[in-house]
Amino acid sequence: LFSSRDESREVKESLIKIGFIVNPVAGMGGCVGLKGTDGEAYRQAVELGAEPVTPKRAREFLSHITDQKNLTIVTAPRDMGESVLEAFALDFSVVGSLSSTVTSSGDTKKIVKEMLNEDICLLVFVGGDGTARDVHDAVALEKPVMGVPSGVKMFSSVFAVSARAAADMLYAFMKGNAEIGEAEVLDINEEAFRHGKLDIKLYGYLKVPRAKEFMQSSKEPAHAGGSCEENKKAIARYMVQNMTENTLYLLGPGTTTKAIAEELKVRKTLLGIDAIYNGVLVGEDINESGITSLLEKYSAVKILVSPIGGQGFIFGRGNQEFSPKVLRTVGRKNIIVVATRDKIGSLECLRVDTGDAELDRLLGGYIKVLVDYNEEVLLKII
Amino acid sequence: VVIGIIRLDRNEIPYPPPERVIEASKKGLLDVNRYPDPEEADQLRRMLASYSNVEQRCLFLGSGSDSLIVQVLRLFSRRGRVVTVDPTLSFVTRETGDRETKLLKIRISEPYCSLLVRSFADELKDACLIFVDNPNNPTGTLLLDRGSVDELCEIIDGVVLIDEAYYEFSRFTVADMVEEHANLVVVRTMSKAFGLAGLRVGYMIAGEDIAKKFSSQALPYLISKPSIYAATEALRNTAYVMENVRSVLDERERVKEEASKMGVKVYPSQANFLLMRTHEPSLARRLRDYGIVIADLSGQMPPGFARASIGTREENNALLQSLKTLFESDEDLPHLTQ
Repeated sequence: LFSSRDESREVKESLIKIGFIVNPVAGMGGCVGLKGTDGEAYRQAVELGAEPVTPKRAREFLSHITDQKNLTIVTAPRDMGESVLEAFALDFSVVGSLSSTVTSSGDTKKIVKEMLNEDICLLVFVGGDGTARDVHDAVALEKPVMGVPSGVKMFSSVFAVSARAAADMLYAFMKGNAEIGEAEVLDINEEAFRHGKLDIKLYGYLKVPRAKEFMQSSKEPAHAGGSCEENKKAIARYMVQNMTENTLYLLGPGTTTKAIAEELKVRKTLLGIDAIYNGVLVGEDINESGITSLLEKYSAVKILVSPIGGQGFIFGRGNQEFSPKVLRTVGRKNIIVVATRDKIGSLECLRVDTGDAELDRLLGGYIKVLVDYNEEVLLKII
Repeated sequence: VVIGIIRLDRNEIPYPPPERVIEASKKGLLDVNRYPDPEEADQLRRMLASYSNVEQRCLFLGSGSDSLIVQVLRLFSRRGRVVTVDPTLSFVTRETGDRETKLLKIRISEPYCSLLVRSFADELKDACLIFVDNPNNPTGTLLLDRGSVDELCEIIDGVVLIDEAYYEFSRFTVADMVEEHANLVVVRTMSKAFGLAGLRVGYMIAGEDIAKKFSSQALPYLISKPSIYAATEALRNTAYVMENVRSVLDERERVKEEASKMGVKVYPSQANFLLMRTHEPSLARRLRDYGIVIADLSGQMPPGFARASIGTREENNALLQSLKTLFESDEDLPHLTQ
């Protein structure tokens, strides 16, 4: 055979330094019916007999790292990484310190910052959406990040599907077989959730490694447009060349819409909605009432949105400023959807959840998504 | 190719052609200092026309069906709108004319049963070309029936280009319909069922409009002598082809059944490959650890999809055994059930 399991896992000779941090309390709320483990909820979880979940997940991840000779790990003290790593024959060092026995989100942020100072090239964290938020606060788009899933809620698309898949991705990254994309960090509104409504907010973006397709023969479908960044630029170029004059463009959140603003040499709020008219910024980070005021002023309006990766929502997740009222005024035919090939390729369909069932139904059906220069995919909204 | 790898990623047939075909190909090498004889190429055209039950005048040869698809795309897609399905062959995306050519891909989604032509009439009517691989790669599904092809040819002013690379496995063709529809063109290949992938012999059956334009563009020496000789000999007796196809179809259904029992979602196929889905996002990568290469579909289909060609019984057993071992070792992977 051309490769045994070990041989295929041989990595390049250069040393790879990664950060590894475990949120020891993440996921504990799950089995005892709590929604999270922040602050008081953690004590409640312990009283209810919750067992730590993340150390097991972290061990599972590490157990799949069988070729460690070019890998060095920077980790956090005690049960935020150190105690798990001690059981493995991996090269690691510890940074930072913990003030109390119960770790907090502040510890995660602080230690991740210290890891960045150690010049890591990838950060692996074990936790859930809450941990992803903390990591986001510390890393932003500075370095790529990968989540080993272990939380109660994992709506963000920064997680690998399993500990094993995370280890596979680490190898792909180390061997140069991964490319860097962006993934959303989503944040569930717990108060709304208690009232039976799934209200998910877009918290930010992290850079994530994604596996390149491997060993494709030339006939196979592939990413003809090159890298994700080039793809976004091509979309932006096409969009800008085809923008209608005297039309108000409302640009939703995201890095693809941001690329369009950059092509226009206009500022863009990454997580918010901005308005552009004839190449000039006329509204920055506007909310629903801001949009409504603009709709009164401008008659020709188009909404430009990009779906949330992995889930495919174009409305109702992270852009609730596009309220049912706004969407009804603008109309379906004035909605433009843009997305990179990668993102659209991995989606089954597009989704809407505006909170208005009748409007959701009206928005349904096929819609064109601009995926490259002069190239569209016709995809169903369900 | 490193010896020992089981390649199930290119939709090839696992059986080599019979000795007489290989001998004919060798004969073509003897006076290879000479260009191919046009009469010999014509003979191959005649035989392919007879095999396909069409008139010779509408049949054209190409170096593999890919080259014919690319030629048709380049000839007929300038500055217009090309429509195709998604997923499909990647070079279709790359070869759609110039920057002025607009490409629209219609996403086909589960249960991958058909392309409802009428639902997309508005998108189709001003298209200069539509390309559909039928059966589709990688889903293995026949997306168009004869009625849909009729509709497409009526709706579209431009060219309707159908790839029937897997015709011998699906036994479905619209080649005869080129007589009724001047804008229809069907491409086929001897790379799959005939087992001549390495010799690059493709052919195209074209309606009048396309045939006219194509005749003026055709190059004289498209196929090499060894290829012409081998293809001609292969067509003299096609019994072996049908026998190989039968073995592949039997194996395809066996692999489908066995893999389904393991919790792999396997889609019905009309071709010599199977589309599979599991909760393992890097199935292709993982199988490589066992020396098995299947097609990775990540990035162009939702996570968990992969495509495996049908190999020999031994190769298929190796694939099934590897899937079994892989799933048994992965307790954290919930497998999809039908």
